[in-house]
Amino acid sequence: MPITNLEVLELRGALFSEGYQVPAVFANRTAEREELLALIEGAGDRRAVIVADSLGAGKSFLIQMVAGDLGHTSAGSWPTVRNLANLAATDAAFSVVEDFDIKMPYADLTGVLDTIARLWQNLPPTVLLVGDHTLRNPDLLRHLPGEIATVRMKPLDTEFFLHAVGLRVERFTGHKGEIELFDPEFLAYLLPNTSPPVATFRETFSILWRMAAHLPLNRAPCRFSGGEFAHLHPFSGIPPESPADRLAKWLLDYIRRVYKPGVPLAALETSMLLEAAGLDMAPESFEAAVLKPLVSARVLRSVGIPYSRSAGRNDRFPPPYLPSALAFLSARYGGGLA
Amino acid sequence: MQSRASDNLRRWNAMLGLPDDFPRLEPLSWEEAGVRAYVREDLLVGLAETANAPGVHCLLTGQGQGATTLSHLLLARLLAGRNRRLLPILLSATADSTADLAAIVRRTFVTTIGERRWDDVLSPREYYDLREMLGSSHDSGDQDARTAESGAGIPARVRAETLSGPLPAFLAWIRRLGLSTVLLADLSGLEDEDDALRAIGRLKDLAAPLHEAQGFDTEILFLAPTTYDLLDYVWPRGYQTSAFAPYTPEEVLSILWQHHRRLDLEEPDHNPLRAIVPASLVRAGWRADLSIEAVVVALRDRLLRLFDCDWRDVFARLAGEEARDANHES
Repeated sequence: MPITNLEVLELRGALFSEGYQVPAVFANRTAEREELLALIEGAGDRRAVIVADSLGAGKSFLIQMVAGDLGHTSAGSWPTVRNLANLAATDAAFSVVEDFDIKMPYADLTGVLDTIARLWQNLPPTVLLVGDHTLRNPDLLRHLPGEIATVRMKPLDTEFFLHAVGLRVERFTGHKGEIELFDPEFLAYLLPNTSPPVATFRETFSILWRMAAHLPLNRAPCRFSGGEFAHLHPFSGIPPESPADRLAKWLLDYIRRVYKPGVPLAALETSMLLEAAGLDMAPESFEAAVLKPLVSARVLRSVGIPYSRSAGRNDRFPPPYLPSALAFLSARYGGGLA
Repeated sequence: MQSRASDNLRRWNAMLGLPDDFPRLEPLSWEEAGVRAYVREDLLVGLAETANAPGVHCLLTGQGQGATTLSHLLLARLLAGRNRRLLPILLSATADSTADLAAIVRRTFVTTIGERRWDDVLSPREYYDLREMLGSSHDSGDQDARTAESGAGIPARVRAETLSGPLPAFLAWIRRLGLSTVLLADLSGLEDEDDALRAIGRLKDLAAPLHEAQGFDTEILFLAPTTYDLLDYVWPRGYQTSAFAPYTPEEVLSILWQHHRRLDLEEPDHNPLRAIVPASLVRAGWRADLSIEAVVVALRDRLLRLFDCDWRDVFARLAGEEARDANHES
């Protein structure tokens, strides 16, 4: 029996929202788990292990799963960069500090790392630092003493995504077997093939959660084919006919012309976007005045290393850029820009 | 000249029984806001209904459009509302910027549970469970059902398990009592990107789900569109959004009237200001992106310009404005 539109509508919270994004029904990331476990269990001298990936990639759940594997009962009550209380008060094989990401200003992050460095001798053999691409910034990591290892997360692709959705569907509906909820072409835009990858669990589920509200109210087999996306109007705050608006339209057109799902779309440098916008501006001014509003409006995603010296310390959204999954869907299925 | 205009405005205010410094909005205590703040009643009713709907709801408001007042009035409405299974809490990004938010949440909910009567709210079975969980094995009246702010009425075993672990586990404990939690978060005053993202991070520390435990059953966030964009970029969660349209010039007059009216004398539904102050004077200084305060300052400037004349001419000038206003409306 296929899953019906009504079932998906009724269960959209369980299937597609973070509130139910629990390890038991989350793709198990076997390779990363094993790599992380090996690093923790094989730790000699104290070292930092960096887990750095996009916001919403599933890092926290990876850590929770590993903690569970190690029998850590208070898994999840980790310190964050905003609250380091209890960092040293653990007898576990590792300690964790989460949220090293663009939500914190650069100076605050260096302050946190300096605190960790001061406590270094009192910390467990492995100190897991979890965050977004900010943690790839070598200037920031210089604040840490000792060896640094890195665990890379497997990017979210179609197979991985269907596995995760399958686990949720089975848990909340009892349906087993192949998931036929998605038109293959729709998946190629929901999980765009980009270099570097931009699709994340959190954003993808968030989009599906919104789209599910526009499914027809009937018991027909549910199949997301993209038509629901046109109802979303996801982009806000871009003044019509402004340079940002014109560039956004160019981007959607660029996706339509260039994107072939079998070939990764390369990240776009500021110079290319500046030329496309046809503006006579300094690149830094262009980034601040045009590109950042497009990032805020979720048309673009920054895939550079935040706060890097070349980008300027305050730059949370540095180049290069890729269109967001919302932009890919908007280019293919409409909706989005006025 | 300015002195003449100010004198005329003061005299006009005195004549109409308005405060000396009218038009001006002074900060109100939250007790005063309950009677002196004007909000759209349909909006408040709608938000109170929203509080019963699980999910994360974002009310997008412009800067200075009274979101903080609205959030406080909504909290009061929920605390006094018919759904007594609902436990609301209001946190403010600016007022609570350094506080231990999890501790505030625990203390507030434990206090609310302790202060309320539950025997007429919960089913007999739920009431029994609640009393068991609170450590009262027999029914000996209201006093036993009350807990002190510190949670003193809750046995140490329960306290240790529920009051010190991760917040989602505490919220799950409340859910097992048959109650729902509503987080009202006022993020409306955050103009700076650093401040907005710090507040979002603190909200995430507080409300992110953990393991099998959800966060709050319902969240209602009050925030500017720019803050919402940042929120949805760094923490997309399937938000339900609605936009709060800025107060109209006519509503600004209602805000002023509600703010200044004699509570003991005047009917709240009768607003003589609308007859006295031509709406065109407000409209001239009104823009959708301005704060209420900025519109009131512009109105004051406009009145001073209008009143910069001989006192005997003030009324003719006002009548001229009224005529223009009538033409505008027709």
